Amino acid sequence: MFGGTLGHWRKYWITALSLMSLVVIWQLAAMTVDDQVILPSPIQVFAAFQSSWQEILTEDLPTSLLHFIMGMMAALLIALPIGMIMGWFRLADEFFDPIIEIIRPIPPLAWIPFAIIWFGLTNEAAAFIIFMGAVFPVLINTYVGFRSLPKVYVESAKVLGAIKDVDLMRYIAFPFALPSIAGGVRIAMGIAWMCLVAAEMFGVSTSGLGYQIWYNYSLHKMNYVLLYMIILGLLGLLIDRSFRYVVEDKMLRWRVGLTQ
Amino acid sequence: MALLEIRNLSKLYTSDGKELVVLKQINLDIKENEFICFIGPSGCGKTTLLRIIAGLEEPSSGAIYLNGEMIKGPGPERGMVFQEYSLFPWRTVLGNVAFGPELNGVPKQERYERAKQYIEMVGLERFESRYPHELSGGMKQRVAIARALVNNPKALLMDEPFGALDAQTRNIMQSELLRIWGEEKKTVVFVTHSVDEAIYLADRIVILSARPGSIKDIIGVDFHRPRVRTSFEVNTIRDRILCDLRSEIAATC
Repeated sequence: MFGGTLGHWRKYWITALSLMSLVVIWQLAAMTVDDQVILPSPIQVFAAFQSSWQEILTEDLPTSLLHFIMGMMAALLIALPIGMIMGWFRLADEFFDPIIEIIRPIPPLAWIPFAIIWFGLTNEAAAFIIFMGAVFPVLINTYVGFRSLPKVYVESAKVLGAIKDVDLMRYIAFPFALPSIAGGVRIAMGIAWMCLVAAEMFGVSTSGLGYQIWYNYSLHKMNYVLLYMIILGLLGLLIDRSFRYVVEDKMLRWRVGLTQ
Repeated sequence: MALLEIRNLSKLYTSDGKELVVLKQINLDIKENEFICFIGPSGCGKTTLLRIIAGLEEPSSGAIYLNGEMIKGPGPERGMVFQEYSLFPWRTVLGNVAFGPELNGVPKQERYERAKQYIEMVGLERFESRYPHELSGGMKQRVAIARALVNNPKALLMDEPFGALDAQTRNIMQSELLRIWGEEKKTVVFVTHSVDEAIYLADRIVILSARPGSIKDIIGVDFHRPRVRTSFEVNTIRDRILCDLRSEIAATC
């Protein structure tokens, strides 16, 4: 390995170089193709950004983030308690498991017609699709985290005075399962982001980043389509990175020794 | 009256319809402030006996009384240190030791003060904000002892707590434990398979027979501490225990 900072800077330089060459090759390819519909150039995409950034910031971004947050919140609200009681009580496990195994294989996008029938073209409808995509990864990782709790932690807690299930779940099982739960939330956020685009594209909403992709496609304004694709990608990356920073680097610092 | 009274205690497991007797008719009184060691061949049920005292397992028949009250489940008045490392990895040393008082609703500042007092007793005041994965095996067991003692238990139950440590650390931990026992004056019930450890530590050594475990012999070790591990008296007792154990082990292997 290279000495700390030197190796660090080297990595940044290579990343920058790598991304710059992608843009250059893209620009060259677009100039060769010379058709804005087949492959818009970086310059054309940037032009699209310049003329629409205000609309993106005030309308599409807030709409999509609202869908995302509503769907994720609902998923956490349902998945965490059910995952926890399934992981802790065998009866709950046996009861909920068949229901989950029936619903889980249905692709979340298959719910779009019912989402529209039940909620209309509302934020709730889009959030519902996101919920259907995000709920199971969180639930299953919560369940697995609770189930893999070593007996010695439970027994230690018991001899220290934690006799009640509530105390054992709160003080022992939950903190132990947190890395697994965090992993589930990360996966869920990735799926939620995909569902968001699909839900908005299929007309569950009348604004938002996904909606804009479909709308601009119908006008064959492909540089706008590409712009929204890039924004979705960057935003997904940003959400994932900030989650990892806050949860894995700060909250789960104790785990370093377990993974190394 | 004894602090712990074990009365007609038996334990059997059933697996595949077959009954396996692990402990058979154990009767034992353990006095207040006494240091007791259980020793016996592996599988003799010494750990099971300790776990029944802790309330983590139920006897099949018979009972154990603490100050005349029957033990029905685990409780903080019987602290336990496990053989495997049992510190909560998501809590710092301070957080681990303060866990018992936290459950009892002791306010934050007060429970941290109490925890610090015990962390100091086990000599880890410089490590209180570390996580368990940053500690050595001996340090982890010191924290586990502090974590049990902060609850001010009547008895400290120890299940081969130094079994995973290297020989040097193990010797140091044994004399540390005696020092702490001298300061805190607790009843200690200590399970070990090391004869040397038992003679170095115990007031009385309870020798259990091979399965089904029953009390084969109780040996009082009434000479002064710190004991010299190679002295004549220690050697005499060691020979006697080894002789007891040899006949038991020969019966099982």
